[in-house]
This record gives sequence, structure tokens and C-alpha cells, in this order.
Amino acid sequence: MKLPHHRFLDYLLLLGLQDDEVVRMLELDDLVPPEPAELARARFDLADRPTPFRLMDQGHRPSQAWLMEKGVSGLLKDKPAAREALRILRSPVLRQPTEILLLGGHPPGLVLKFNLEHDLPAVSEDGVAHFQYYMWDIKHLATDDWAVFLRRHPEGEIYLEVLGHGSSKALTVADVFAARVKKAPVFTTLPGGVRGGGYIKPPPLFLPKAGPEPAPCEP
Amino acid sequence: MPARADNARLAPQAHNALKHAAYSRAALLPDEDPAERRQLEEAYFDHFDPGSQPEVDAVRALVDLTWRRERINRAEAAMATHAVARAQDKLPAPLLGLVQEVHHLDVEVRLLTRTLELLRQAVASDRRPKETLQGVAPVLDRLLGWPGSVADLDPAQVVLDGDRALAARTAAVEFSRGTLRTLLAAAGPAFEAARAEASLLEPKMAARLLQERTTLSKAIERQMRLLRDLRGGTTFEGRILVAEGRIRDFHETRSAAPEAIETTGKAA
Repeated sequence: MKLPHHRFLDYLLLLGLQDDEVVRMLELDDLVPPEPAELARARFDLADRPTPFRLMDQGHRPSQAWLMEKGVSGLLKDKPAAREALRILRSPVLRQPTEILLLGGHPPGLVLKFNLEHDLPAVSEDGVAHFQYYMWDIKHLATDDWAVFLRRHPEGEIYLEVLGHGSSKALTVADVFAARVKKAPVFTTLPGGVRGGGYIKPPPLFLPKAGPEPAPCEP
Repeated sequence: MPARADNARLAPQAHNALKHAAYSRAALLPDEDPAERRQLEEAYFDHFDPGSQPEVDAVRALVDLTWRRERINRAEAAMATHAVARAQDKLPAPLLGLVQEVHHLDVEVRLLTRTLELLRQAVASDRRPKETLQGVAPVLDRLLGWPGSVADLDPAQVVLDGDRALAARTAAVEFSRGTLRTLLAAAGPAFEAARAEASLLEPKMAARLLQERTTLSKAIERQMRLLRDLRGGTTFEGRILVAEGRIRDFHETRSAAPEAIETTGKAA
């Protein structure tokens, strides 16, 4: 099974995390964890690193060239756009509308416009593009791969519908998601001043009954 | 169900030390599912598609190592959950949730320990501490949950504060584990086994399991490299294995059809 967050997975593997730690880390970020064989495959693909390999040395050219080739260097360098991508990933209000719009084939610029229209927290176009690159690489998955992946996704059915009906459906569903998450209370400090965070899970989604569906088109 | 057929050759006393079997080198233990193991093997063979005998051997070794590492993970989780799960109908749901939570907390503490260790080494040796902090920031941000990103802070300060958070979490895991044991004890003699298994999750045992898991992970990493080298034929070890494979293939072919080879030889 191919994963849209394969680059984020590679990044975790490069940090030297064990399999169960990688899986837990992905679970913490509400990302679908890979099967053991897929994890092994991902490790195998990262085994051709140069010798010596210096992960954290930004001045070591062979290592940096290899990291760029694997497409994970942005996460290691703490680029502003990569930081924004992580913010989208971990934001209960931004993530789902962004994923839906990108899945529907909309460009990052439209996501930005959508966020502004719906009073959602501001993120840059570059941030959305980086989110797409590291955590929601829609080009990495063919239609069959999406079908397999979305079977394990908590909102799989809705996403599959978006995938089947294209950009207009994506806008409708993103509207519903944005309205839903805005209603859910969000807090970043626990009672008693304890640092931490969380959000109350929004109520289940009920899509409005629409009239006849438009003809399916490619995302 | 027990895989008696696969372990038939093992003497009964070979299983004497099997309490949780995390350190066992056996390919398949009595309580392991041969179908699951076969599935893993098939998945690996599908993925790696080995073309020669050495590659087949390498993939098989990889499956063995991965299975053993999975066994550790399973044993660790099973220590607390297995016995409890057996008495699921008698146990209240929050207790089962607690078992799961203890396991999650345990993995998170390990994750935090590993990430902070990377940073601590960089700070201690003064080798690119800022770059290292930037590199691990996505993980630390998630685990620590501090406002803002740790990448904006001083690396040494992050190590100090991170250690404090780690100590608090380790204490929290210990507390949860203690609560679990107490609850199991209060649940009555029916959960003696569950209590005994839960007590195995003590720090000393956890450290030993971690060490074993790290050793296996390194062996897997080496095996991966070997497999890659076999395909590229770049290292000496890889070339030796390729040569050995060819010699073995040659002997097998000759023992299968000696006349054919002799004829081919004469023709050549």
C-alpha cells in the first residue's frame, strides 16, 4: 500500500526510530501507519545512503544531496514552509479542509483563498504546497492505491467520494468540514494551567443531500 | 492455535524457558500463527522479488529477523494485555483501556528518550546542536506539546526541560502500571496470571527488551544493506555470496542432470 505521507515516514525512519515507535508517532499525528512489510520496504529504500552519512550536518554535501534526492531535507532543516506544513498537519481546523481540497485537485492557492473566506487560521501558499509534498502527496498514489489507502482512513468513504467526483464535490465537502470544525471548541491549555493541548472531536459528519451529482471527472 | 507440526523437532524441554519468549531464536513458537508468519514471508518475497539464491537467503534472513523483532513487540504488549484479554468478559472496560494506554505511554517515553538522546549527544559534544534540534523538532514538538516550536529555543535548554518532562512521563507510566497492578489485585485471584504478567513490564525488563530490539534492528539494517549490495554486487561480502550462490546453482544443476552438462561441455 502506498502512503501519501511517505516522505514524513522516511523522515521518521531516518531519525533511527524503531518500527513500533514510527507507528506510534504516525498514530499521534492521525496518519495511517504502514504494515510491517511496507515499513521494511521503506527502510530498504533508505539503505543506499552515502558513507559516511551525517544526517544532521547541513554542510556535508553527499549527505545533503542524498537527503534532497529522498525529499526529506526540508523537515530536517526546519524551513518555515515545512513548519507551516506541520502546523496544518496538527491543526484540527486546517487539516481536513486542506486535504479535501488538494484531493479534489485544487491548487494550494485556492486552499489559501478558502481559508480566508472561512475565517480559518492563515497559512501561506508555500506552507500548503509543503504539506502536499510531505504529508499529502496525491501524485504518489494511483486511483487503485487511493482505494486501498482510504479503506484504512477514518474518513475514507467521504474522501473516496471526493476522489470520484472531483473539484466541485471537494469544495462542497470542505465547506461542511470547515463549518463543522469551527463549531467544535478548541483549547490549547488544559484546566489548571497545565501545558498540553487537544480538541474535542467534532460531531460526526452528515453531508447535505444534494441533487443529481455532476459527471465524475479526474482530480 | 499451537503450531505443533512446525515445532515437532524441538524437545519438550526446549520450551521450558518460554515465559514470554521475547528472546527466543526459534523460527516459530508454539503460540505463534504459522499463517501469519507465512503471510509476512510472502509479503517480503513479493516486495523484494529475489532473483538469485543468495537474494532468497537474504530475504529469508530478513523475514526471520523482522519476525523476531515483531515477537518482542508482541511480547511486550502481550505481557500486560494477554492475560487480561483472556478474562475480558469479567474485567471492566476502563481496565482494558488502561492496559492499552500503559503500552502507548511506554512507546512514547521510549520515543522521547531516543530523540532527546540524539540532541543530548549533539549538545555534549558541541557538534551542530542547533541543526540537530531543527532536525528533531517535528518529533519533539509533537511529543512535548509546548507552545511554539522547540526549534526556536536553545538546544541545551530543550535537553534540560525535556529531561524534566521525560522524568514526569516515566513517573506517569510507572504510576499507571502500578494502578493497573493494584486494579488487577483488587479484581481477585482470578487475575493472578494477569498481575504476574503486568509486573513484567518493570523498567529493568523494559530496558532489556529495548536492548534486544535495538540489536535486531541493527541486524535488519545490515541485512538490508547486504540485500542492496547483492543486487548491486558492490561489496566484497556481497560478491562472495553471489559467487557462492552460483557455485551452489552449478552443483545443483550438475546433480540434477550430469549428462546434459557433460554434453554441453563437449559441445563447447
